Amino acid sequence: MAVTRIFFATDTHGSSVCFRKFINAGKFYEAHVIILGGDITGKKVIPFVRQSDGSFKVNHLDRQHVLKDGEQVEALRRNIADMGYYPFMTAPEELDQLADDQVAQDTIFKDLMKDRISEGLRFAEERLDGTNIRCFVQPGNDDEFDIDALFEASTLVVNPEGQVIQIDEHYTMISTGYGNITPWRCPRDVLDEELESRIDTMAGQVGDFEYCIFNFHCPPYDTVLDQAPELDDQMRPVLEMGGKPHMIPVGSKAVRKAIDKYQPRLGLHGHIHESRGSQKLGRTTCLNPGSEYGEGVLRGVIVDIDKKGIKAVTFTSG
Amino acid sequence: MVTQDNEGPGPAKELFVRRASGLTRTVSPWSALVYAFVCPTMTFAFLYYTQEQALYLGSKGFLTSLTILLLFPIAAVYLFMSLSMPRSGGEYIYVSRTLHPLLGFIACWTLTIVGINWSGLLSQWAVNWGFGNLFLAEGLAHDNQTLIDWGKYLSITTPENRWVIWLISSVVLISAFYVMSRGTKAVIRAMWVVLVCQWVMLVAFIAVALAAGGEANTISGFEAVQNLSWGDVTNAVKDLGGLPGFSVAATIWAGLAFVNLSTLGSTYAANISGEIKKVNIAMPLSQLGAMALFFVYWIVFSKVADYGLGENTIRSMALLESQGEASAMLGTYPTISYMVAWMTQNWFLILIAGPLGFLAATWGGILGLSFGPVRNLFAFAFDGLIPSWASKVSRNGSPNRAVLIAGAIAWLVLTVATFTTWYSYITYTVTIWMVGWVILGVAATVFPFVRKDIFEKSPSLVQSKVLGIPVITILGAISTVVAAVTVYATFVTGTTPTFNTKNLLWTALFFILLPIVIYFIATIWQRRKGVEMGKRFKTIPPD
Repeated sequence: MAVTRIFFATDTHGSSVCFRKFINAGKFYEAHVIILGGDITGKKVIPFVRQSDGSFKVNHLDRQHVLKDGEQVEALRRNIADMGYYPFMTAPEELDQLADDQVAQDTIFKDLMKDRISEGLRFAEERLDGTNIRCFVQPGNDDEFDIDALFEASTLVVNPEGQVIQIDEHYTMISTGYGNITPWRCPRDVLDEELESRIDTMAGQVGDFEYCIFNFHCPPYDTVLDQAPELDDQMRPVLEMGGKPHMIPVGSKAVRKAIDKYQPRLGLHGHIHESRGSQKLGRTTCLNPGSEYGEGVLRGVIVDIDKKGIKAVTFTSG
Repeated sequence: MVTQDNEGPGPAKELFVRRASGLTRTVSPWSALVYAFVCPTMTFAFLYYTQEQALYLGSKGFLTSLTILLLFPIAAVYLFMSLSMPRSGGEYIYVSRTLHPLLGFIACWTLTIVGINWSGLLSQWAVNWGFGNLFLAEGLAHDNQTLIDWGKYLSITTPENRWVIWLISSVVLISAFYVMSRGTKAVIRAMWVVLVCQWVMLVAFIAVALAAGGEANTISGFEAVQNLSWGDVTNAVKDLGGLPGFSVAATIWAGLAFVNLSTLGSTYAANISGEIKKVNIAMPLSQLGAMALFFVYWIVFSKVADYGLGENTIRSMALLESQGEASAMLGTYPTISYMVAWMTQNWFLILIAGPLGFLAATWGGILGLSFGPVRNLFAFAFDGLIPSWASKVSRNGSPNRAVLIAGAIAWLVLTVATFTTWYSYITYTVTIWMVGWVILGVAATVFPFVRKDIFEKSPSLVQSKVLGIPVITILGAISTVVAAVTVYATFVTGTTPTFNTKNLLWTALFFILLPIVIYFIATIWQRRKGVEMGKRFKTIPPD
């Protein structure tokens, strides 16, 4: 019986090395389908400030680096990109101007994000060409809408957001990177009601949920996949006796409701980096491979499926 | 590249940081320190202080405390590695990523299995030197023969009473694992109680010892309480050739094997570093701070014990116990917590400075020393090294199946230890633990060279160098030597005739070879499922 091998990773947050590893994971794990579940852009821009003597000053990892030559600059740029941040070459005067200009900062941020995504897509086109590996990359709740258009130009990388996609002869997949409201009010945070409506629209086009995969960035509410610390009004974690954070479920009630209602075979989720794990909800096996993008480690999960269901689930750390 | 502290003119700090989700590190640095300090059972000083001098004749109790200083490089290795790879998992992650998953598994396995083994053994200790000494000391204080008889009955496990000891020990063990099954919150609460007990016990002990007025008064107390003549003790000591002279080697070996043993578990804070915020502050505080607190605890305790009980009193008991004579004379092992009854007649102080404090701390040890290992078992299951069945968690997030497995192993150890002599030397599991640290030390030594990619992304402290050599390489090399010498130290206990090196060797070999067998079985099993075990951990080529 034909087995389809899926490799799923998520929350790479701009890490160049993790994205490249994700693209190469298809060949490495002999997967037929690779899926990146959202939150693919970074959170920080690191200015490289050009000095009058030609050197650069860079604040990174709580230290100030003074880079004397091009090789050093390139090494640190690569290092920072691999951690998911965006190196930004600038001059002291420009930096002073930007300090009070939020709009200009946002523009720079978005341009750098798009550059990083474009670079990743070029890499994917090169590596996936002729491999027959199908590649799906969706933006997550953290990701700006500006990056969506970039996927349209790609021939081998598909943004599955809002679509019903045939994975193999048996299985279909529906996907969304939108999430329920977080304390940070991220670009794709929506009310659970809206998320439910999005999911129901896609689910309405699915024939048989026994052969369906839900690729939803947000994990279902109140499971082992969605435990995160409770935050107070000042965004500080609420601690219990002994300094242990009070963990609460932060997943999506809409996702939970959809899984309980439709009972797909498989749920692929991310969003909560530390809640790596799996949980059965009725017939549905829900998985979150977690994320360690900051260290350049690609956490993932390999799922072998066939007509009878899920044959094997293997968590990886690459 | 030139680096300097982040001060003075230069680019603005983190000018462009956007709001994005992902805050997950939440254990505060101070909480990390408490966690690191609570895991080990510091009050075992009250047992080991006699035990180390009994097994390493000629060792000087107070000076053995100084060997804790040798553990600072190992704590620093954990500090550096956790800063570099701030993820939950500790040595399992560090060694797997640096050397090989099999070595990572062995390193972590040693710490895991030793922790669980200890939980089993401590259940019996809780009965012998907790309940038993409690009845015995209180019976002597109140001149109550019934309590004395019960105390003597419970204080030493014999073929006649072992079923009773085993049953009570099992109840103690189950109570600790029940708390563990209630989740992290319950465990942390219990640990706080144990932490308070440990310090209350030390404070009470200091008060009792200072009030006792020194060795002469304690000897009078001994004669009054035990109904024995101290002259009989000194005669017995003379028969054994007198108190041994001071030996530097024995002191070092005793410190390495026993004082350092009492601190094992403090590095578990690194295993939860993925949950700790401000890792750059929390890790120095927890890894080095806990070690500093252990040092203070031991130094204060040993000085006070030497003053209150008298150095010669303790050494005499230790010498007699090296032949099993002290236990025969007293009806129990001569732990310091029992000897409290010689320094005071106040039943309440005897309780809290002695057996009750010891009982509470031992129960905490059962809990604490399996708490970290349960998380490791969970990780092994998650990674396919043991059946995935063990990776399931309860609705409240507690890895109940891993708790069940750890509890079953601990109970098996307790049973074997109670009914056979096979485990008489498992108390030397510091050997096995240290083998794990040898592997960790080697990993730290080569880390900057074999994992340049991670090293170069690490915080500047990790990347620091001395004379061009990475500091972590130096620390790793020192740690390797310290751990290897400790392994050796546990094998040179032959100064006492009751020690059997062969038993220790076989025990250690069994526990070190077992993970290799498990790894290869898992490899074959995973291959049948279609995924090479090696690939699960192997770095995907990024280019």
